[in-house]
Amino acid sequence: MGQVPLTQRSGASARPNADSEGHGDRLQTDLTAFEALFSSHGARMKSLALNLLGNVADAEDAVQEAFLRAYRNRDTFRQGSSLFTWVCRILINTCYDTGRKRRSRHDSASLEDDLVHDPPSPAGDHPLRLTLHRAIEELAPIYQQVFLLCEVEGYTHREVAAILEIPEGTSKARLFEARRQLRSALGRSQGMPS
Amino acid sequence: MIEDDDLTAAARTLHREWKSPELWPAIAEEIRRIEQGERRRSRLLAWRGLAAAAVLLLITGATLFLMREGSSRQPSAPTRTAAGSQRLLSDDALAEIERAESQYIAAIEALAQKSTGGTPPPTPLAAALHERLLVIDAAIADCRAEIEENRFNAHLRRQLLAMYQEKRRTLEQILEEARHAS
Repeated sequence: MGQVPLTQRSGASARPNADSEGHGDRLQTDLTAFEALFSSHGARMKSLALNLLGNVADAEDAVQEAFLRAYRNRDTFRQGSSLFTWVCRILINTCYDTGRKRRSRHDSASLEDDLVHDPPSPAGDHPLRLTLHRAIEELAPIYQQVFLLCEVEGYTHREVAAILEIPEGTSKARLFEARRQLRSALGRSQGMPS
Repeated sequence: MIEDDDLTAAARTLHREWKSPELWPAIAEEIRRIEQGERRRSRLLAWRGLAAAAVLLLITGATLFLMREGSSRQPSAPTRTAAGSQRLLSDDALAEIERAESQYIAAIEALAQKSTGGTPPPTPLAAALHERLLVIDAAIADCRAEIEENRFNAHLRRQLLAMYQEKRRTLEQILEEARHAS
């Protein structure tokens, strides 16, 4: 995944001694790492957020918030682990936080309104798209996350396992269960036996 | 029945892509703002740390100084107190006492000259009184020696006065005895 690593931090206590040039260097290194991540994974991160939140504005806000949360908490980032999986995990949590806040405000926009203004899919359209979207929304989060990451965004089980911090086998099992539930839901919506 | 392939194909269409040229600059700008805030906070923390260290240093220094001052004063305090208690007489009072003493001593010496007169004591009582006079003179000499070391000691002066009074009484007794004997 060719990432620029985040600068190693030795904790807040080291910071007051650092001169402004040191701060500038570190900032530039961190910005470069985040920019590289945004260039390589930004599109899929935005798409993931869109599928979790339902509209472009919220999706972009969530991506921005995820990067900012990651930057604020960069001291907790474990060197040697993947910056992408870490930020992606933060993005998923941010999306669920946003969804909770939106539900508590009772202003959840209707799916149809959102999807009318949806950006086009590179894979073209599909007659099951709207139905599938609704069915995915009904899934439990653990199945929803694996399905969106694997089937929609095309990540491997190894990557999904790293993002969600679960074993690969669990990722496969969850995808299997997600597909079963979705097939059943889509079959019901089309009046077919599942 | 929905086929797996249909599900996969439909899922692929849920991936959306759109351009958002403002997104990364906005993120970068926010990150720079966060960094500036952190730098300000860390500078503030550093200043606070320095200020706290300076205050601590000041308190420690002041405490050490006061402790040293206290310990250097303590040994000299009793000396000063002793000197103060020993110096019971002022210079003027001392001059007055010494003048009176010298007059008193001169009078007693004159009395002694008159009572003893260089002749041997005529009676055993007169001899005993002469002996007592010698003891009193020796005591007076000792007391005067002590007074020479501390001329402002009023207590010694009172003792010396009592000895001279004793000497005066003894001389009077010697004169009385001589009168009876004659």
